Amino acid sequence: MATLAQSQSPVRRVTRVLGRIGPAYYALFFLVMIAAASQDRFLTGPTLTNLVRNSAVLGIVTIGQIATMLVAGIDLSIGPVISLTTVIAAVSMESNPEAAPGIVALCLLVGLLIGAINGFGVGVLRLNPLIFTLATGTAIQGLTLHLLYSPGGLVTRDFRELSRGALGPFDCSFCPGGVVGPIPYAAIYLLVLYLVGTWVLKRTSFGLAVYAVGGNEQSARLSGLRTERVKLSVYVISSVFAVLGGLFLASRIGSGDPLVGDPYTLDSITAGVLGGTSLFGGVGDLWGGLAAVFTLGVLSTMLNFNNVSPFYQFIIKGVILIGALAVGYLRTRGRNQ
Amino acid sequence: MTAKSVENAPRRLQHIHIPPAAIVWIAVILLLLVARAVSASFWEVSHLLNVARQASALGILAIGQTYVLITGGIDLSNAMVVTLVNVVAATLLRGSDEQLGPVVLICLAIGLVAGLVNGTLITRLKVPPLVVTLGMFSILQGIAYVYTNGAPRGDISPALEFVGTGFVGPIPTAVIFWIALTIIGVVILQRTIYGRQLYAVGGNEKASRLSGVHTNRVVVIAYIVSGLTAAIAGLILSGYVGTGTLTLGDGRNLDSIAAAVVGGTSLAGGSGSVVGAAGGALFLALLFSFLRFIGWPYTIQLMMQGLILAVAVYLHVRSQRSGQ
Repeated sequence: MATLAQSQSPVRRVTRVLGRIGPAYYALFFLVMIAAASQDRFLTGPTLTNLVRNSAVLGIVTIGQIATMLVAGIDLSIGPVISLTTVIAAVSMESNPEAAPGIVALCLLVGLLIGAINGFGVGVLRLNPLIFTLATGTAIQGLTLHLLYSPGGLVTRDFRELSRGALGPFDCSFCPGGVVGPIPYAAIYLLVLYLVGTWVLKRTSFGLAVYAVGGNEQSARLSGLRTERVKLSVYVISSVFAVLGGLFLASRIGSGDPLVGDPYTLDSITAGVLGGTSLFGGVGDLWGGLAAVFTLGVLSTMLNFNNVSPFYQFIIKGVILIGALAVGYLRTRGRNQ
Repeated sequence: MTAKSVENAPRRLQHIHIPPAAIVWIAVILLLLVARAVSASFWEVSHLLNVARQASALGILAIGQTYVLITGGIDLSNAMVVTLVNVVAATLLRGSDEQLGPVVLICLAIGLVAGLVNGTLITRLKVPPLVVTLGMFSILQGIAYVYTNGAPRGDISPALEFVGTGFVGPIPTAVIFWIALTIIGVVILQRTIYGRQLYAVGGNEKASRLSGVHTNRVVVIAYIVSGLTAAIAGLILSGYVGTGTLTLGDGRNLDSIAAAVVGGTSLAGGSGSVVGAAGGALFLALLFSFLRFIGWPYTIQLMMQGLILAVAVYLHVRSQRSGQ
């Protein structure tokens, strides 16, 4: 064993470690380098704060999407659930501003219910997740438009602070400038949610069950795991995170919009795939997804700085998505040979 | 002997196999009867033909989607082929028929290239069709926005408007296109070697490759068919709306999947029917028209569509499991 380790040159060990790092981290690293080199404004407080706030919704909902992808599923109802949340939150807060905490609880309850329906269809009835969540997503979209046909409603001032606020700045004698921060709440939400999510996935028996079900459902069931219950929980998690993302979005835009969640369904799949999570289940983690979310965020910041038409973002996003898959394919092929 | 056969009769009844494609047509007839019971004026020929016209673009999209679903794949990019074809046609035609031929060829080429790229990436890189066609969706969307700079201009020509809104005798032109393409789709699927190979590849790719089928080529052609039918649907819809708009394709990818699934096509691959897809498209259009007719708003229609899709996929899965 020792001779084997010694016989490998340091260069080889470094390349082996580098080879294990997912494509999203490289993409993020190089994009940040290019952005920092080409734009003085990029590595400044206001830009980074904006970047975090703009990426927060996708960052939050991607956690849920990755969870469904880990059990070889997919959740196409995320976008409609986000829209529904903004509508419920904004419309009810406009009429009952003092009941804001209860309204937030109501939204989470709605998320639980939708997740339970998705989880029942996919986990218990074993229906195709793509079609079933498409069906529930369509129905939720209809319900959302029924509640509010065009953007409207108003969230309370305190509720707006949840996305716009920041902690600090703090004194910091070693830092350049003597202070650190202000740190936007959005950064704290993301950090806490990703830490807790990773802990659940990697350190609890539920998390191990998720990977087991995604890796091989048959053997997971035969070894005594209640696969139905695991899948059901995963879809509940996905819908609840979609509600959390919707609450953040409602706070950020200040009103309800029945179509505002639309892009997040596909963007969360893009982020999951780019972050190295397999659509076939069992492989992936949250941090890669977060790196992918910020990759997309930095990309759009850069294009804005350089006055590139935002329309090019669609093309670049598509190329990145297919490119990430191609990289994944080439890597596994290299390993198999 | 007689007693035994009587005893077996119910069991034999259970074994009568109704193909999934027939179920949707039975549903269409039931829906028509319900509509008739609610109001006789729903059965006016002009109204029913109008419903058929509304179904035609969806029906044409669903033909290609069915081909792709039979391979076990999925095509999410067809919606953006519709949008891109629409803005390109409106921009290039500028309301006149002078350049109609070349423009139609360009639009068909857009569909062909999109399908070719989809199919090639899926077969060569062995990556999930969902993600590849999602990426293609994004790329085509970007091209449509960059091409029009976000503000589509131009108008559709009179000849295309005739295809979208005109009549040949009493029958809407779009419906004639739909029927013709459905017949072609059925004939290719049921009567050609390619059709046999398509079912074989979807059912068991490895077995068909080992028995000498060029499986990659079969799959790529299915995506090209989907791209081409999307381009044709885009031209017909362009004729219907008359101008260029960046939202023409919105939601049509999922609608085409819904029509195919309601028509009895399985997402698992290996089975599927173009006649069923036509029934699925007609059923959805009839249902929406009926709900509008009795005064239910569009939002309820969306909820109903979701519900029907869920029920359809549930029934489909249940019949497959009981058949095993």
